[in-house]
Amino acid sequence: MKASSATRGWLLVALLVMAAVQAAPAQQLTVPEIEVVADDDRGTFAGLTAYLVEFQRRANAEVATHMNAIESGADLGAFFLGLAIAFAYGMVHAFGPGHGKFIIMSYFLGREAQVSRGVVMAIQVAVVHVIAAVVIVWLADSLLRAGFGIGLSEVPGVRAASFLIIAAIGIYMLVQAVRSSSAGVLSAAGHDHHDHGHGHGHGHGHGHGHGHGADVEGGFMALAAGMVPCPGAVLIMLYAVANDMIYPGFILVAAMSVGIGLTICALGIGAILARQTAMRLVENAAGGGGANVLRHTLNCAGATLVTPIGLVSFVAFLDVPLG
Amino acid sequence: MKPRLRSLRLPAVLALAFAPHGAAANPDVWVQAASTWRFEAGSLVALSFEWRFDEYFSSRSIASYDSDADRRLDTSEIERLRAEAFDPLSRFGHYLHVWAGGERHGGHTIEDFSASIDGDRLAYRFTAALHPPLDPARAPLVVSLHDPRNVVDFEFVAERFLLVDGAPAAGCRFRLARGSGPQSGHAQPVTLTCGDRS
Repeated sequence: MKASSATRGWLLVALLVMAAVQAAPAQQLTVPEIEVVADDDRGTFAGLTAYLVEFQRRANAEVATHMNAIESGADLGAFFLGLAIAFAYGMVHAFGPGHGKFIIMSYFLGREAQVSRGVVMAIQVAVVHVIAAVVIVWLADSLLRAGFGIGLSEVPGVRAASFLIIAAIGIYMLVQAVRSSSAGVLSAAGHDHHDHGHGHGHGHGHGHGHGHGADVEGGFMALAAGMVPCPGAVLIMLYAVANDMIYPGFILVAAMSVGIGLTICALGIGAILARQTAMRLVENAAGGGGANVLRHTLNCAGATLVTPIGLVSFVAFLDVPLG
Repeated sequence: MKPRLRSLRLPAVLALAFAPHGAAANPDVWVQAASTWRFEAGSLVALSFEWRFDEYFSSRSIASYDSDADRRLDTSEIERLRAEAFDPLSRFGHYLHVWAGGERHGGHTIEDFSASIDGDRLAYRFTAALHPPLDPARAPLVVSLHDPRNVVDFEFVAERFLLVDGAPAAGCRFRLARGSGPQSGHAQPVTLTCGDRS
């Protein structure tokens, strides 16, 4: 069958239209002119934030690079550089929300403690942190391998337990603070009757744990603060597992956790020193009675800070509306 | 250390711990983003985004959703990823913040979601259709990708981070500057201003 010239003409037109449609881009995208304003005039805190974020962005990428280098048997220099980067990353990262800083600071605000206690607790938090990251990743990896898939938020028991332990310790601290305050009032009344005349009010009802009891309480606090691993550390560990680099991953997460521990340590010791300084100042200015009042106030304040952190976090975890 | 500096150590550490800005600097997931602004009849009708994730999040997501481990996400894998990982972000408005004339814009719907594995990275591509469309000639528009919880950090790619499909009215200009006021804490909000407004 021979097509007429008109038919051939229409076919040609149709082919040309189809070719034109195919040749035309789906979108006419243009790059507009954009005025990019430099960050030079930002305030001190905004500048610090930007610096910290940028530092973490780079360190985060560097950790992966060095994990690969360590796995491929790079020299000791690369190994230690990787450790240093992970350590610094953890130290800076810990200044962000979470990581138990506020809990530890509130705890030491409400407890008389030596600086060494702050150091020990920071070490405990770091160790618990590493163990928690490894355990959670091991769990996640096991489930992934079993073909289920799991999100970090789908390991809820750990978070719930952490919040409840914090709340329980806060309530325990509060009960102790109230009890010791009552004892302090009674003993102060006793002093009045006996008229010792030396004005020291700090020998009774301090409300701070000594020895084994304080260690156990502090240990639980470290457990609660460290048992929810930093998602960043977990992601690094998961990356290590997924890429069969468990050993370097573990080493780098450990270094990161030590960095986190150091920041927490600094802040915990800051709280200890702040309390000691305030006590000393008040004792010099107002005598033992004033110091005793401040001691009980701080004990109660620390406890009333720790308790709501645990309770509010737990309620938020349950997604129960407040009010 | 000089005594004056020594005396500043404790307040400095405490200030850093409690400072709102310092407290915000804590992302765990890092995203490099690019955007396309789509205009129809001068109004902004949709914003398309490409998010490229960091190695760690990518690695975990690829392990979770590339079920057959062929380094490609097929339709069913993308659907599962969308349902389990992307759609839940609606709770956070997909980290998209839009203002018109200083007022927060109500809503958007997600269209054309897709995901792919580019090298060792996971990438999302999606379009947020704005309801209603926004006319930049009537009021300046501000668009920002930001996670107020600071779990996710967004940073624009170095080049071609903002493309335009269609055109706003003549005399419009884009400006990228660290946020202040309602955009305080936002690292890279983009403002589109038309006419003589400064």
